[in-house]
Amino acid sequence: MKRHEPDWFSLAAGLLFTVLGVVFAVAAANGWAPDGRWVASGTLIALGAGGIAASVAASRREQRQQALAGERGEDWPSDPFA
Amino acid sequence: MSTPDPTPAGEPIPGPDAGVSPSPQPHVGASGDTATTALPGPDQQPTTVLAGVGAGQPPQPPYPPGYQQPGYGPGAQQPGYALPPGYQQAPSEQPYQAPYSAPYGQPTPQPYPPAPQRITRSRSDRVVGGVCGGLARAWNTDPTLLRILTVVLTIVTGGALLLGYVIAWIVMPDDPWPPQPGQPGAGYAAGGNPPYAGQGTAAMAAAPRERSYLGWMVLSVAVLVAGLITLFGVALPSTAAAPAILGGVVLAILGLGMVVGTWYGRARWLAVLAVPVALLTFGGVAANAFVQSNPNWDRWVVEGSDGRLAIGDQTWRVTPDDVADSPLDYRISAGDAVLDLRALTAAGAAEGRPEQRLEIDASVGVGQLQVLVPDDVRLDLTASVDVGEISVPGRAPEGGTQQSLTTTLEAATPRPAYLVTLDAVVGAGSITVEVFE
Repeated sequence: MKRHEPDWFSLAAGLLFTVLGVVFAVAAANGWAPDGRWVASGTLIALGAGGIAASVAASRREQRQQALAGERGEDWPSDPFA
Repeated sequence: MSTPDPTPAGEPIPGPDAGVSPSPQPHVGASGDTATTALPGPDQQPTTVLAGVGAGQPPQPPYPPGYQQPGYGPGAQQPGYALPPGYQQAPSEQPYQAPYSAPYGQPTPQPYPPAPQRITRSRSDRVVGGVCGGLARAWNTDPTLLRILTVVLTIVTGGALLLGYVIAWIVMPDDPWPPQPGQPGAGYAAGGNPPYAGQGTAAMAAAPRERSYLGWMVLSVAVLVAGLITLFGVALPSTAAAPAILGGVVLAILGLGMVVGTWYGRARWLAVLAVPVALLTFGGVAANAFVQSNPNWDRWVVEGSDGRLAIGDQTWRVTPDDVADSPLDYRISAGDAVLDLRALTAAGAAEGRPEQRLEIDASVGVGQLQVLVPDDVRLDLTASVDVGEISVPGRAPEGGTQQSLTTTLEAATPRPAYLVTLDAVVGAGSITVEVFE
């Protein structure tokens, strides 16, 4: 597998579920449960932040590739809705 | 795109309705219902344009001299869809359009075959049926986010969305195979996740993404570890905690895989699996915490007399003949039970016989226990409810958790025929004692 540009959604989701998994396993082993409100809000915030970060990164990548294509004199199809 | 235009500038283009004398009429915009096939090249001044030249369309007057359509370009010819100046659609996104300079009556060269505009199930970006991949491609959005949304909405709607997915799976046709240029999926048929549809296929064809096996590798590791934990689950703290610990470990493995996928390979689709796993695991953790904090939780699980779960409403009628079998044991796992002692009356006892003693154990896991007692029976009652209510005549009902009560209901007669000792246990529900004359 080659190294690629960071996938920020994957990072946010990965950290979220790693933390949740560890917390759940420790909580189950010790007989307690984390507050559901914190779990739900944390999950939504992490996924939303990851999605935003991924969108911003994709937009910047698009602009960068468009600029490089312009320097080479090539056409780069841009997305008018981006 | 910039093929030479044989039409001299400033002259109207003869069309099928060339004999009709057009009159000037203001044009309302590029998204009108008039066809605009006779347009000059980008490097030429716009000329008088003949509208309504399509087959079967009535003749339309030309645009006034000097009029220039906004957003002139291939994309501007789609009704209701105006592209910003300079925008150029990717070949795969363009519906087929004849070159502007094609003279009428002559076959026009087709640089691109007519691309089907149907929404199809993706072959190259498929987890289950390719529905989310195809919809994400058509809607120009991220398929992973669409899959997560699908899973969440499926859970929220109680599985109703799953039916919609199946219907879409049936209704939506599959991507054509092998993929043709200009057809959906042509640019990334080599493997890997497709680009967003708006990014076009030409650029992606120049730099195809590497197929990643990271997600499947991580999923396989998670399944393997889950199997090992299940195999050695006897070493876990308690049986109630084992599923929660298992879910937590699997969730952490999926998360670590996605962290690796940040820089190497692609594993973001694992989030689609991680969301339901997290929900189930949290439910297991909460249930385990309740069980651990409640010492009487085993009262919730009551086996029937045959050692199996007994579910359903039952009525236990005790007769004088049952006294010889004392102590009596009645059990029900879930449901409402009625313990009827009304047959134990003085009339049922022989005259001059000494009082009869009867011991009864009645257990209900989840449900209600109703005890019907005649007033000529003395009842020594020991009642306990883990979560629920105890209601006894002469006392205010007591509800809550871990309720227990020990009391004696004296008989109305000075010499009761029966002395009943009842030990009633309910996990979740209620115990109600009613006295009948």
